[in-house]
Amino acid sequence: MAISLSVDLENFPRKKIRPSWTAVFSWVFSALAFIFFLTLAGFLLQGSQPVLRKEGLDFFLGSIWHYRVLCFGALPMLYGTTVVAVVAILFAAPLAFGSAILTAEYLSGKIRLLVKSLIELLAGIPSVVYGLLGVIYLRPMIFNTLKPFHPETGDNLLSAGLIVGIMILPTIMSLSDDALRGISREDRETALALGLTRYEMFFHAVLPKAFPGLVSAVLLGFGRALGETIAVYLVAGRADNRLPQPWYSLRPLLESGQTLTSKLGGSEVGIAYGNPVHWSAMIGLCLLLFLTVMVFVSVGQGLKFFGRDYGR
Amino acid sequence: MKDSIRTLKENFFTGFVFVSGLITLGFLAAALGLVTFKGFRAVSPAFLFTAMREGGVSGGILYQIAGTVILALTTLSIVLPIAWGVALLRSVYIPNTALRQGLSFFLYTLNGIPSILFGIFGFFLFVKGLGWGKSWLTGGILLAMMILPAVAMNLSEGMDRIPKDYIENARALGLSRSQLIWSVLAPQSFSSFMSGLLLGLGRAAGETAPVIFTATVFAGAFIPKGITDNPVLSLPYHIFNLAQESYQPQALQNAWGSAFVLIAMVFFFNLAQLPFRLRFHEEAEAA
Amino acid sequence: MKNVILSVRSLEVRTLSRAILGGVSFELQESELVSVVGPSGSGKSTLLRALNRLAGETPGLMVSGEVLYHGQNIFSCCRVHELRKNIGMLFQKPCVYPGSILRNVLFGVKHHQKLNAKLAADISERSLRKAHLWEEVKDRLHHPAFELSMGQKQRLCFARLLAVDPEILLLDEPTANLDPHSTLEIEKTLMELKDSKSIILVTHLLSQARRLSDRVIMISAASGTGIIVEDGSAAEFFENPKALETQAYLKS
Repeated sequence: MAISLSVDLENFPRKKIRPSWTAVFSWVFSALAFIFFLTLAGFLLQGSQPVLRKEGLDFFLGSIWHYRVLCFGALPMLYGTTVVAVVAILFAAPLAFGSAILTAEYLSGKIRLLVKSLIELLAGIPSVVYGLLGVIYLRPMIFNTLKPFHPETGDNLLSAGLIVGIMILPTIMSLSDDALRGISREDRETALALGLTRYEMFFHAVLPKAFPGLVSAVLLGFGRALGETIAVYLVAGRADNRLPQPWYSLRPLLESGQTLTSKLGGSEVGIAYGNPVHWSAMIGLCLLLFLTVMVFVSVGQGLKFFGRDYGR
Repeated sequence: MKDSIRTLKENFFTGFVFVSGLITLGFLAAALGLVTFKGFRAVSPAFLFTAMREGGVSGGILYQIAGTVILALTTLSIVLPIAWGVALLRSVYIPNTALRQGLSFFLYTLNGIPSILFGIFGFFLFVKGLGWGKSWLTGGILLAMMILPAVAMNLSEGMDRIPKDYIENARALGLSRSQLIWSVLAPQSFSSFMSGLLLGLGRAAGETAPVIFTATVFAGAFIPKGITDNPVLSLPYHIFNLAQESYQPQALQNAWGSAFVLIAMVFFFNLAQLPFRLRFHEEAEAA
Repeated sequence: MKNVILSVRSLEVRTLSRAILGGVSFELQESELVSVVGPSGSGKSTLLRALNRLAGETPGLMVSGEVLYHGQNIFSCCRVHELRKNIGMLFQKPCVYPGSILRNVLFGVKHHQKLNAKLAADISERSLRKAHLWEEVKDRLHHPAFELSMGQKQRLCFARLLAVDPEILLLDEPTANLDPHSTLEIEKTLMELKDSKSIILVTHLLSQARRLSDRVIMISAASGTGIIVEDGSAAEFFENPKALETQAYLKS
């Protein structure tokens, strides 16, 4: 029954090992994925060369985008993107933290799982549905509530920011909950045993250790907010070349604006293909979007890895 | 510190926490409630099973549903082998070194790529570059690559969670690496795989941005008969267009109905993965 | 004079920070049972795991030295999973896979050869009988293996190992957590296997070593690294130990 020993060793020693089919399969399919993303990166870098050579730094700092005269300044869109994401974070983070503290500190067992799953359902709602809700409900609500401030229209950066805020709320909450749950029970019980209130225990025993995880949650949420396209497209108004006068004015919140994503989701993409420089400008916007999002996502992700060891 | 101030802070804290939770759940209730309330009225057998008429203003969403299903199935077939390949690479074939850490980090970050970038890249490469025009296959490829990092990581982490006992015993019995993969790793990580896959498909079904330039049209497409120049309709894109004509009450009605159906589809995926996700929690506790 | 099957020469296992096992050398003959004893933490399990190259698969461990199996160095002669068809291991904690008892018994051997239904039935019955488990499970072979008691699970794992039919058996404290009945059955199996197999048994039960072994090796890590302090026949070991550590250990 046993494999005869002489048969085994007769074929050896041989250093050359034929890889199994499974290994070949894994490497080949992984290579496909790798090639795809490599090509994507190449596309972004290569394709944006023409417009960057033409405009140079003005691509990022120029405030006029007018494709008919081949003038491509992305600053207003950068501004719009930033404003929308900042509004979203300011709106979502406190609520997300509060909800996460609720599920991590106050609830347990089945009810905790229930609440967390329900909130994660929020994350499952497609962005186009949020967009629809934003168009029908949020837009008029903003316009009517803020009438004293004379909004230009309901399609403004504030509406976009709020709808994106609701979209990233479950993401930040879920990540924060994970971060808080990562703190061991002993840490909490030690504090409580010393007579601290729940609030004090949270701020002095849990928060310091969970801090990297929470920051990571915010950064990842921010990255998502920067990249959201459809919902922003539907409620932001898509007016080009709007910049605040003076630079610190909050006026743009109540006016239509343009973000990198709302521009990229629009019909100008199709038009651009006809003109090499125009097309390159669109790719330039893609590159800009990619870099901006990736900065936050990679730092956020890095903190998550770092935070895992930090809490120990 | 005075006890009364401490108690006050404590109460504020608790209040804030519960109120946040309520508000968050309130958003969920509002979103789902509105869509259900508005959409339910629009849904009828006729709505689900008839084709669109008058540019979406009347008629049904049969081919939108069909298109979404076609895209989801295509995505599934493409992401399946690639996710397994990448997951096996990370969990089995690449040893525990910096390379493996790098791969994990890389996958996690890829997950954050905005979906519109897939759309524009796909437009460049497939629609124009390869000359395919709009095609359902392109949509499937792009959606698959979009959900790939998450599905692969879920699967790979599921494999990592398998108790070392199972693996050591199998190795000690003389199983080769591929035998180990098929007899131990794959069956034991199946629930993680299904959970990640279903969540990914739910996301893919609801996405608009990757397909608007590459795979979908608003009208004029039915069941594709070939690959090139064969776009499909899709529910998300349909809603996207109707939302921009929302001043028309009939179009709006249609939009709500479509949104309701879309959410139903997405939630089907999200809920279907729950038993798998719960199961691997149980396995971990039993081990 | 029996043939030497396994020849261990200057085997060393170390991590980056310390040497777990240093310069271990001994020989294993055919049809003999060698017990490896010693205080906990001395490196007995590590030694065993080096012999089927499992230590080499543990990240962070570095193995050096030679282990000659029928004259060939196990670290370079063949693919590791081929080697393990001939050098098998039973762990301290029984590890049972989801599925039926039958499926578990066949789990190893079915990966080595094609089994038709008859062959499968034969092999499983033979292995379960050798492990003294057949009578207890013959009527419920298709029942989930999880239902078995700890002792039965361990005998099942033993049967699974015997189905693969390796020439050398490495056993790492196989009865450490078991009830007396299962311990007895496993020792019976070992006594019956002694004539046809070569067995290395790591145990902390000196009485067990005395009952079963032909030879006894004692490993001690008093110096910080595990080394062999005594290697002799069972009789010599228990009646007339040479090393001080052995004497101390036997007294404890």
